[in-house]
Amino acid sequence: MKKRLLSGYLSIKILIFLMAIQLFYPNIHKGHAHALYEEVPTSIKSSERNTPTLNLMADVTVTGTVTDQNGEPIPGATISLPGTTIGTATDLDGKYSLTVPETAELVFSFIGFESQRIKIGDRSIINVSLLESTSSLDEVVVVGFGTQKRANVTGAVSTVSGEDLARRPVTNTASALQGTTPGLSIQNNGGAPGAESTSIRIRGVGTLNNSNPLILVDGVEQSLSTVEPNNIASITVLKDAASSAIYGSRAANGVILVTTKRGEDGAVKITYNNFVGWQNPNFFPEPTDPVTWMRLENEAQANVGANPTYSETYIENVAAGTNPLQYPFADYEGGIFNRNALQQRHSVSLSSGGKSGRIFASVNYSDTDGILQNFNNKQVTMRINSDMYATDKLTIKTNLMYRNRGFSGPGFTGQRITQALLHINRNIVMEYPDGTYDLVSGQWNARAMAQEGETSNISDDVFGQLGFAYTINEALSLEGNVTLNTESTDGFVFQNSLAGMRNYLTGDLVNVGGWFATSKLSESQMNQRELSQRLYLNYDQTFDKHSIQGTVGYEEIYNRYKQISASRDNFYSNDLRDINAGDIQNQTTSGYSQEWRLRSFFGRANYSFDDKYMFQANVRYDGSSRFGEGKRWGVFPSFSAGWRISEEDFLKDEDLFSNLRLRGSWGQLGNQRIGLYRYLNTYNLNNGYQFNNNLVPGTAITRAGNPDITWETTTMSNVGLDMGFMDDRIEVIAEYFYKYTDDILIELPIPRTIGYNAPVQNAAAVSNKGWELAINYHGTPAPDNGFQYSVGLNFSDVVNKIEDLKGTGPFFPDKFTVWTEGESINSLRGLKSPGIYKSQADLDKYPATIFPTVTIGDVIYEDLNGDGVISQSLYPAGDQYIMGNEDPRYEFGVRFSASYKGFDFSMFWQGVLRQQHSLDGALMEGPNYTNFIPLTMAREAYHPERNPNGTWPMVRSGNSANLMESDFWLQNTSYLRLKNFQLGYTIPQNLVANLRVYISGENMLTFTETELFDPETPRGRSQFFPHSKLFSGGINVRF
Amino acid sequence: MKLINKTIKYIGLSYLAFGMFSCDQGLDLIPPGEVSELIYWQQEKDANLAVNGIYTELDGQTMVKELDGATDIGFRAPSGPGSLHDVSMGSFDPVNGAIGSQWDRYYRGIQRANNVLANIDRIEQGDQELLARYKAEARFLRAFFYTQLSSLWGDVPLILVPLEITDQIGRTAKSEVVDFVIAELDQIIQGNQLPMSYSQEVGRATLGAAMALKARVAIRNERYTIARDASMAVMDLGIYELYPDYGKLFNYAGQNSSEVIFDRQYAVGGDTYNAFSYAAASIGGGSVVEPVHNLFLKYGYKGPQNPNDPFENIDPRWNFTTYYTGQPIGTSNFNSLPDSPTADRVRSSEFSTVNGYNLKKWVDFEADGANPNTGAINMILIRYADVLLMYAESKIELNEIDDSVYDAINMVRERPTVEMPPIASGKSQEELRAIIRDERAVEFAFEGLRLFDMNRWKIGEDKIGTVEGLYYLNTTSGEWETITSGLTRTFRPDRDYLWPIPQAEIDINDNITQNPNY
Repeated sequence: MKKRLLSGYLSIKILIFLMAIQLFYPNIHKGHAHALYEEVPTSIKSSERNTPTLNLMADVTVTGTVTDQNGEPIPGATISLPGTTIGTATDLDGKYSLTVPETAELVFSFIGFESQRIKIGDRSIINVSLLESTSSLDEVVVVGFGTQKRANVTGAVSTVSGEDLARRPVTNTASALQGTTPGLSIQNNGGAPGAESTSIRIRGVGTLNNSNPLILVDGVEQSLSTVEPNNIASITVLKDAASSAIYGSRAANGVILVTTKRGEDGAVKITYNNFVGWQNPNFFPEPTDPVTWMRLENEAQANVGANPTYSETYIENVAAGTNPLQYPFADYEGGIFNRNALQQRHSVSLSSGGKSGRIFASVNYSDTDGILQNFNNKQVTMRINSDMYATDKLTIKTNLMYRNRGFSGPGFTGQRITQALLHINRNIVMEYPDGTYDLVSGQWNARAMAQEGETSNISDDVFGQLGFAYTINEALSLEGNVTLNTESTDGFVFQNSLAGMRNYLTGDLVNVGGWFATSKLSESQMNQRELSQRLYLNYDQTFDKHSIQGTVGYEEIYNRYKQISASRDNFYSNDLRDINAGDIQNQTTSGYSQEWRLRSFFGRANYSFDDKYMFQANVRYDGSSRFGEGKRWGVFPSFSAGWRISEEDFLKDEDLFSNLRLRGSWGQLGNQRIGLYRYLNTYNLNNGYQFNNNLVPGTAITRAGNPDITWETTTMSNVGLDMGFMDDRIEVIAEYFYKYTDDILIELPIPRTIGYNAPVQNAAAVSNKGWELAINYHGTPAPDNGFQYSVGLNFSDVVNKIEDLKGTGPFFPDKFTVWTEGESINSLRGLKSPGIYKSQADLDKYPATIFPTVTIGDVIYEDLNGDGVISQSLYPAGDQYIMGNEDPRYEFGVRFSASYKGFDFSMFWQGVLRQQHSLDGALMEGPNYTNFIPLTMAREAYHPERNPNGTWPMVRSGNSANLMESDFWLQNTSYLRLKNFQLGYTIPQNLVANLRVYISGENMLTFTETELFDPETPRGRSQFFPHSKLFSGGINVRF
Repeated sequence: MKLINKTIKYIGLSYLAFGMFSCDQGLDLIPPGEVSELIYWQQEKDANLAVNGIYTELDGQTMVKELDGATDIGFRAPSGPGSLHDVSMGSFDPVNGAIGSQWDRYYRGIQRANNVLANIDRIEQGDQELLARYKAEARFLRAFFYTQLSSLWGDVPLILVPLEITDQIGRTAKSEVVDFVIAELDQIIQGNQLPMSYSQEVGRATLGAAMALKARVAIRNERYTIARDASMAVMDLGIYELYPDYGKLFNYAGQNSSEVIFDRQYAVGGDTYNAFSYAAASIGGGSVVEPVHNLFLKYGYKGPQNPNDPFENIDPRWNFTTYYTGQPIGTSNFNSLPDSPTADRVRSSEFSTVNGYNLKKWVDFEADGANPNTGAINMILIRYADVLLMYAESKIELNEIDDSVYDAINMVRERPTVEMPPIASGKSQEELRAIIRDERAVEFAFEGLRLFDMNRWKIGEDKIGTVEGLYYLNTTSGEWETITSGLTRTFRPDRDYLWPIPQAEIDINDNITQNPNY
C-alpha cells in the first residue's frame, strides 16, 4: 500500500520540482510556452516579433486585420517580407502592425489557410481575408507526444477532424469513425443503449489475443465510446510501426489518438448543438406469419411421427383473431420492441482565450431509449480544458472531465429477452388485461422479462490531468503531466417474484418456478483507478536547411481494479429493493481485485533536409508487471524516411504533381495484453465445498502458469505514396504494409488429461499484409457560397495468415473456428455440404451420414476422407474442412458532401465486399425446438410434396443432424450501407453568429444478401440487443 | 542564494533519478486473491483446503439424474447438438460436449488429487494423523474418478503424478486401471486410513465408502469374489441400514442418513442447483430427463393386478420415482395427456415432457417449492441398498446361492415404505439373475447406475426402438396405450458400450487412441 501511495506522491514531487526549475533560470530568451499547445508547428514560431526591423529603404507602417472567409479574426497569422527576417504575427483580434520598405510585397500565411502575397503599394491599411487551404499538407497532425506537419510525417497516419465527427448524430464516437479511414475496421455488434459493443481493428487482426488498438484520449488510455464526439478536436490513427513505436508495448494493434478541444483565442464563443431522433430495429429477422408458423410446427411433429401441436380449430381461431385469450399466439416482437424509441443529445460548449490563458468548457447530455422496451441510458459529461500562462515560459494545463452514465432496464438483459423471443413457443398470453402473465414452462415469458424488475448501472467517471509546458530556451522545452482516471460503477439488478402468474393452458394461477419464483437482488461495485505520469523533453532547431527535432521521455502507468458484489433473495416485496429487505439465508458476497503497472522510457529523433528528405527514429523501452522477472523488459525501435520528390528540381516545374512523396518505414512493437499474473502458478481460493451443510473453503490450481512468457513482438514495414494533383485538390494516398507478429501469447490447448486450463505460451506467429488507398477530391473553393462539393473514397484490404504454430495444431478455439498454419486466424471449419437429400439417388450417392436416422430432407455432409463415416474433425482425420473465414475483405467508405448557398448535404456509404458468417442456434433450429421461425425458413423448408424445391432441410422435431457446423449454413454478409445522410440549412439572420438546422439518417439503407440478420451481427446464436437505425433532426447554433 | 538553488536542484534531480530508474520496483505485482505455489504447502491448512478442492469435482446432477436418460429406462429431452440427448438417441460422436465435459472433470479431479499426494509431505508441521487421513481421502477420490473413467471409456490414461503441460499420456489397459483402483482401496481399508464416520464433516470419504467403492469397481469388472467380499465387509461394519422411507431418502429428510455411504454434498450458500430443472413443468421445471414405458414395465406388483388400472398395486417405488397422470403434484394433480389443461401437457412446450412421464425422485416440493433456484439435496453416489444388491449379485454370479442372497434382495424389497412381497427361495441362477437385474433397475432408477449396469450386462440393445412414455387409457379406443413422440433410438453394440475419447484430447494428445468404430 505504501508503495502505491509513493508513486503518486513521487510524481507530484517531480512536478513541483520541475515547476521550480523555472525559478532557477528566470532570464532565458523569451519564448511562448503556450505556443506548444496551439496547433502551430514549432518551426514557424514567431519569435521574430522581437527582432529589430531593418532600415533599408523608406519605411511605411502597415496595419490591418487578418480574417477567415467568414470574417472571423485569425490570431497568430504571420505577415512576413520574403527574403528578409522581417515579420510579425497577428494579435488575438487578428490585428497586426509592421514597418516595412514601401515597395515591399507581404506574405500573409497561417496554418490551414492558403498564403497570400500582397503588394503594399501606397496603402497603410491592408485587411486580408485568407481562404482555407484544401491541401492537407499544411495540416498539423497530432502524433505521439507532440505534433507534426502533415508534410513531414513519414509513417502511415490518418486523421479525422472533430468537425466531421460532431456532425454525425450518434452518441458513440466509435460508430462515427466507421468507414472514415482506410485500414480502420469498425464493426458495430449492437448493444443496449450506452453499452453498444463495437470492435475496432487497425490493419486486421494481428494477434490471437486481444486485438483492440490502444486508444489514448489526451494521452491516457480510455474507451473510445465514452468520449463525447462534440468534445473532440481531432483523431489521429497511427497505423504503422514507425508512427506508433513511441507507444511501444501497447501499440502492436495500432494507436488511436484522440485530442479534446481546447480554448481558442478570442472573445467568448458559445455553441449549442442538439438532435432529437427516432430509432427502430434494423434488420431484426422477420418472423413468418402465425398460421404458417403453427403449420410448420405441426409439420415438424408429423415428420417424426408425432401428433400435431396445434389443432385446426386453434389455427383457425388464431387466424381469425377470435378470443386471443383462449387461442393465443404471442407477438413477442410487439411485446418487447419499442418502436420509434427516442434519442436526443444536447451539448453546450464555451471557448475563450486571452493574454493570461484560454479555456474550453462543455456540458453534454444525451438520453437514449432502447429499441427494447424499458431500456434507457442517460449520460452527462462535463469538461473543462484550460491553459494558464503562468509566465511567458510556463503554461499550466488542467483537463477535468466528469461523466455520469445512468443505464436502466428491466430485470433481464436484452440478450436474455432476445433469447426468450427466439426460443419460446408462442401459444401463450404474453400479458393479461389484469397485468398478469402466462408462465411459460417456468420462466421465459419474454414480455414479463421485459416488463418486470429493474437493472441500473450508474457510473461516475472522473478524469483529472494536471500538466505543464515549459520553454527552457528556443530549442528546448519540457512537458509533463500527472493524470488520474477513475471509473466506478454501481450495478443493481432486481428480479421480481411474480406470484400471480398463470398456467398458459388454463389461465389458472400456478406455482411459479424458475426466475420468477423468488425476488432477487444482485448489487455490485466496480472501481478502476489509473494513475499515470509522463514527462518529456523536446528539442527543436533549424539550421539553414537542416531541421532537427527530438524527444526523450518517461511514462509510468499504474492501474488498480476492484470489484465487490453481493446478493440476497426472497425480498419482503418487489417494491422494497434495498439489500437489507432480502432474506439472509441465500446471501452471497464475492470480490475481486487486480493491479498492473507499466514503466517506460522513450525517445524520438527527426531530421529533415530542405523539406525534401525526412528521417525519423523512435525507441521505447517498456517494463510490464505482467511478466516474470527477467522477462519483463522489452525494446521497441522504429525507423522511417520520406522523400518529397515534387520538391526536386526535375519535378518542380512539372505541372502534373502538386505533391509527390514516397515514404517508407520499419519498426517493432510489443503486445502484452494477456490476463494478469499468467506467469505464476497459483492456488485459487475459490474452490470451496460443503460438508453436512457447512461450507468449507477449498483450493486448486485451475490454470497452469508459465514463468517463461514474455512480449509478443510485431514487426511492421510500410511503404506509402502521397500524390497531389491540381493544387492538391485531388489527393491520393496509397499504403502497402506487411506486419508479422511473433511470439504470440496463446493458450495452446493442452491435453485435457493434464487437468489444468491451458497456460499461455509464446507460441505462434501471424502475418497481415494489405494495402490502403484514399482518394479525395475537393471542388474549387467558392467564397461566394456557390456550389461546392467534395468526394472522398477509401478502400483497404488485409490478408491474415497464421505463419507458425511451432509445428503444432490445428487448434480449435471454439466450435466454429480453427487455428492452423497457413490459414487465417478467423478460419471457419465445418462439414462440406452439396445441399439436402432429395431423392434415393442422393442417398445412394452420399451413403455416409452423420447419424443413422438421416434421410430425405436432411442436410448432406460429404465424406471427404472416404472412410464411410461423417466425423467432425479436420480432414484428413475427419470430414471437416476450412470452409472460409470471418475476415472482412475489401472494406470501403465513400463520402460525398456539397453545399450551395445556405444548404449543405452529405452522405456516407460504407461497406465490405466479402464477408462470411456462420449461422448457429435458433434461426436454423426453428420448429424443431419450438423456436422462432424466420420468414426464410418458412419459405425454404423442404417438403417432398409441399415444397420440393426448398433449400432448407425438412423440419423435424428434435432434429440435431442438420445443425452441424457446415458450409450449408454459411451466409454471405457482404454489404453496402448508407451509414449516414444529412441535409442542413444555414438560416440567414443577424441574431446569432450562426444558425443551422438539419435532418439526418443513420443506417437507413442497406444492401446485403442475407435477410436473416444485420450483416454486422457477431457470429453465434443471434442473441443480442438488436441493431437499430435512427432518423433525427437537430440544430447547431453559435453565439 | 545561488548555493541553495543549486542544492535544491541536485536534490531534486536525484529524486527524479530515483523515481525513474529504480527499474523493477513496483513491477512485482502478485495476485491479491490467490496464493502463489511458492508459499503453499507449508501449513496443515493447505492440505485441508487442497483436499476440499477435490470434492468439488465429484459427480453431480448430470451423472446422477440425467445419465439415466441415455438408457432404456429414461429419455433425455432434445436440446442443441452435443448433449446427452444425442447420447440417448445413439447419435453422438467424439465432439459431443456432454461426454467431453465429464472426461475433463474427472481428469481435473485426478490432477487435484495427484497434486495433493505429490506435495502433502512437504508440510513439516501439523497433525500427522490428520495429514495421513487427507492423503487417504485424496487417494479414495482419485480411485472414484478412475472407477468412473474406466467404466465409461475402457482403457484410459492412468496418471498418478502432476503433469507438465507438454506431457501426452497414452492409455493404460482397463484391467490395469482396475487393478490399481482395487490396490489403492485395499491399502486404505487394510491400513484403516479412513475413519468409519465423521461427527462434524459428514460427507468426507469413510472406510465404508472405500469398501463399497471396491465392491462397485469389482462387480463392474466381473471380479465377483472381490465384489462379494467387499460388500460383505461393508455389511459387517454394522453401521449402515436401509432408510425406512424410500421417497424421503431422496429428499432433504434422507440426507446423511445411515443408508448413505458416499454422496456429492450441496448446501445453500455453497453449491446449489435448480431443484426442478429435471422435473415437471407445472412446478416450474424443465423436464430435462423423463422416465419411459420400459421402466414402468420393470416394476412388479404387491397385490393382484387390475386389468382396468395398471397402476393399482404397483411397486410403490414407481410412485416415488415418477409423476404420471392423476398423481398429486405441487398443489394440484399431474396431467400430461394431450388434452391436459396444465403446463405438463406432453410436448406443449420446451419444458414439458416429450413422452408424458416426469421424474419425481429428487423432488422435494415442500422444501424447494418456494425457491427452487437453490436446490441442495445431496446427490447420493453410493448407498447401502446398492451394497446389498451387489452382494446378492456377486453371489448369484459365483453360483453361491444361499439364504443370504434372498435376505439381501428381500431386505431391499421389504423396506417399510416399499413392502414388496419377498422373493421366494428355490430360484435358479438364471431366474435370480433376471430378478436382481430388474430389482436394480427399479430400486436405482435415476441414480446414475443404470448405464453402468447395462454396459456390464451387455444389454445396450434394450434401448433400441421407438421411445414410449405415459401409459394411459385412450378413451376413444378404450385401450391402454403409450404416448410417444415417435423418436427412435439406435444402439451400435460394436461401438456404444464405450464412450468416445473426446476429439479435443485426440487432437492434441499424440499418444492416445480412439475407441473402436468412432
